[in-house]
Amino acid sequence: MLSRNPDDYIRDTKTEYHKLQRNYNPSIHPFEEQREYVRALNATKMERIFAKPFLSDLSGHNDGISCIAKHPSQLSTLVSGSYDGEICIWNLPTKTCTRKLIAHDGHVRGITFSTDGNRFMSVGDDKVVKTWISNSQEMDDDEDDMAPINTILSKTVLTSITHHRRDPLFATCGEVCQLWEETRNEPLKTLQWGADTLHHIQFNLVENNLLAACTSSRSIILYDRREGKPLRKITMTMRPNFLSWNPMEAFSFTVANEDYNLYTFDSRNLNLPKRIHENHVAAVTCVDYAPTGKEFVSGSYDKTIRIYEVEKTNSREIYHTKRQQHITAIAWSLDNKYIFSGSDEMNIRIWKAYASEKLGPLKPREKDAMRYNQALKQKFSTHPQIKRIAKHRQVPKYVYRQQDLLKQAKEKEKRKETNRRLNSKPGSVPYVSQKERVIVREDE
Amino acid sequence: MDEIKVEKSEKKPFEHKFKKFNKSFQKHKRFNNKYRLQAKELDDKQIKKYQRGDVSVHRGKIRTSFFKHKFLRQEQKFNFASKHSARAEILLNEGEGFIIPDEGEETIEYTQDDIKKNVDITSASKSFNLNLDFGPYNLNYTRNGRHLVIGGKKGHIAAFDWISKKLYCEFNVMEEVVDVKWLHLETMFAVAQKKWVHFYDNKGTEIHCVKKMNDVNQLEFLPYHFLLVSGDDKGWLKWLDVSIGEMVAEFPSLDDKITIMRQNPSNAVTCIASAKGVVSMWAPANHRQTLARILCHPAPLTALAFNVDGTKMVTAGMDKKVKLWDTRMFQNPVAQYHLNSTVHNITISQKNVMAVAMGEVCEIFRNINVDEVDSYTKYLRHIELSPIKSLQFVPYEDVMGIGSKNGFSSILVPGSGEANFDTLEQNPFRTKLQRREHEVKLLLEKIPAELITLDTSQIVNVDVDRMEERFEAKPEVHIPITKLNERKKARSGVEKSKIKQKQHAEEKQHLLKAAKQEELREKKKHKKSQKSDKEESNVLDRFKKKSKK
Repeated sequence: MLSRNPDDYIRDTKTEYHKLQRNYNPSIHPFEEQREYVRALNATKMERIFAKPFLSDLSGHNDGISCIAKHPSQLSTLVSGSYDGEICIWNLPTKTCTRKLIAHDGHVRGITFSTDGNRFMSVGDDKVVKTWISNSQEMDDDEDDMAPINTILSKTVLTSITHHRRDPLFATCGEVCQLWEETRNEPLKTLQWGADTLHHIQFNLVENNLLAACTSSRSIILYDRREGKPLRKITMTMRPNFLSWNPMEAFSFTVANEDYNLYTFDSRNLNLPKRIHENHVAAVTCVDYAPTGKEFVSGSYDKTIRIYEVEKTNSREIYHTKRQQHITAIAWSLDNKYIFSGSDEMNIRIWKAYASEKLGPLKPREKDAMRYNQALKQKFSTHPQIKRIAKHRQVPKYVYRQQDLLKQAKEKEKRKETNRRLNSKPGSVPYVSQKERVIVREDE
Repeated sequence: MDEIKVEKSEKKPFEHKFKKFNKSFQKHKRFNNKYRLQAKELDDKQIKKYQRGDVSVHRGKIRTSFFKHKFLRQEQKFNFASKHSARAEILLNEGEGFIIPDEGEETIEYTQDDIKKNVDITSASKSFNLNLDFGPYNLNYTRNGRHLVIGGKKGHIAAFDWISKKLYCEFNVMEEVVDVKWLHLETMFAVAQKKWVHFYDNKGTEIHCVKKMNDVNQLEFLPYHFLLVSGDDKGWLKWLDVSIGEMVAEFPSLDDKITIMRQNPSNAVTCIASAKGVVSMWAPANHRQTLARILCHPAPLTALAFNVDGTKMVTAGMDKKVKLWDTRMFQNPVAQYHLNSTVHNITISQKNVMAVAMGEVCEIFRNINVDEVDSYTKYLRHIELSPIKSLQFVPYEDVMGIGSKNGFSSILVPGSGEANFDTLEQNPFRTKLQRREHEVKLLLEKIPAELITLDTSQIVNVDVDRMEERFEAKPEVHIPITKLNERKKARSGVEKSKIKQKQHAEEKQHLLKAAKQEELREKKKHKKSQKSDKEESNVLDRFKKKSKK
């Protein structure tokens, strides 16, 4: 005979938690699947309600932002360069500019941190590589601090700079690719392939002797620091603007292209891109990987930022604001929480990497609830109603219209090809996949 | 008969007797060290209780290793979950137990007084009688088993906490009361009166009168959907969403008059037992059609009941038979019993104890072997002073409520209730604050009425029909044509040209097909857009002549 002692079920004092009695027998939990579905639907709606990705902006530059560099060990420091030759060092928690350096004549083309993060180098249109102290604590408004600790004059134009992950070594590019040691004023090595001008270069973060550069003659060149010659070159149909190595996968990198798409390559098999990432409606100008290597963020001339999963064609997220102009620089913070975007209208914006994520410390129960919701969303993600809500994004009118136009153009192309195939000798119009079309040729 | 033993949920073990009667009981004895060790070794039966269907996927048919791995991992996860939920049984507080008769005696001989004498004081206080003059009485317990509302035919309504005997309200509506039902919480209940359905709060204040539900005979409340279902004199079924006050569906059933209506608690399908001997099942969103119709008895039906997990249905008819059905397979009854008189009411408890009312007599059956559905034997008998009108087992208690012409009585039925409740589902000991939080959660998790179907797991299954439809709609473009294997033997020019012609024709056909499909799709799109244009309403439409419907 059942006879419960209330003391076993009622808390003793008001300060205690209520006693929790669980019985997992399925028969006293009816409608399990349906209730889970409703919960998943609610969680999805909640996610969209709380999706407020824009956090704040950093204003202080007097011209458009040209480049952004992340500090390798400090999450609170960010350095940015602008078109008027100024470099700002930002303190992110206080959202203030701690130092402003008049660095170059003309554009600042590239900034890179040294391995320990104490110094950073910048290149500009004035053919100079300048090394600066980044540590803002030591600064007392002395004029010495406002001056570079080292200046190297280069003989050629400089367009980009990248530092080796471990060694005191950096590479610049312009008319040629040059490798420098920090302590020497002459390049260690000069690498060149044809008469191409290079506009962006980056060191691989894992296989750290590898380098990749984008050229203005629509090609991507791979270099090895230990070799005397460039390794490999692929030519695409349109110009690659920017490139970013995957920090977790030594062999893959993503290229932001002028043809509105991004391409992820496997460096072991360059004749076909591994994946095409669509959805931008103007030239993609910059791209940066998340530290997890599973996602990357891209900025475009269409004034929007998109976040892609590496394995997916379509973006998972689009960020835009009314006043944001063409995106010129982008960075994904090393704690995988924030995205920094620099744009033409002199602002650096801080976004959340996951739009509906709650920032700040979470209680264990909160964490559990979030994990549970995440699992539910995942479980029911293919249900039409949930999918529709999760996928829906408000996009600016011009992007919306442009998407439609691009879709029409694509369909037209397809139709035209079918017609051509229908009316010509069989086999004369071969089937060529989109991926094959992008690569013009591969040289060794 | 000098003394009977009633198993207690507490710590003193009756080891040898448990072994004799209920082997599964052993695992509940967490305080017995000997058994605690045993509980760690789980048998398949225990684990199976926590499994949701068959988890093993036939992996031979999966082509890629990626998906093979994925399904394997999924299977492992499911197994892990069910195993650990089974293992968590040792944490359960209470155990259940039936009456163990002395040798040479049978449980059916025991009266309520005998049982009352042999149980503890708190349990004994749960057995009581109320002599009331406004009978016959209908009754309803809340889902946590704590609160009771009774409604006499002559208008008397009382709501109270039946354990502490605290009265919430008592009044007379001065009108015939047909049925009473608690809504989602103990703060509100619905009463089907002579004309309309009225809602009262637990202070007895009338908060609502639903005039759309008139001449109602039976009320049912679907707690997870917030739907109040009514079956009326004219055979109409009506579903009212009590959270937003909207009628979800109303349509006539196939019967002229609805007198017996029950819900299947596992899938919220409303079932009507008719005078034709047929049980019909209804859902609000099923276009006025039955989900199923089962001819149960060749005589008018008199009672209908479902068990908690909805796998069993019990029907009784004028032919004095009681039939037990498996709700997943309706071809034949699983078991049938012939009784001496017509059964007027049936109810099944959480632990599948079945109570049957025949006039003044109430007989209680229990399932000796849990695995065998048809092993019902007589357990207890109770005789009221007047004809029994209604019966209900109290959830999470070993008690049954009986409403009769002379009032209400609460009797002890050891082993009938679920011993261990889940606080997140139902909590008999909840505070006001917890109740409020629970209400919010319930509302947030309200299941839409459209999801009421026979199979609740349909929502997580693959919609095969629609998927096939979608695959068919996909145009077959971009399929490179495979070249015919050319024989190495030299052919004549005629043969070669024939092969070429054939190839060309094939390719052309292929492309034409693709183009045609494309065209069709375009047309469909065009039509759709035209349609949507047409449907757009204009402000001036109101001046147009309305077409007669």
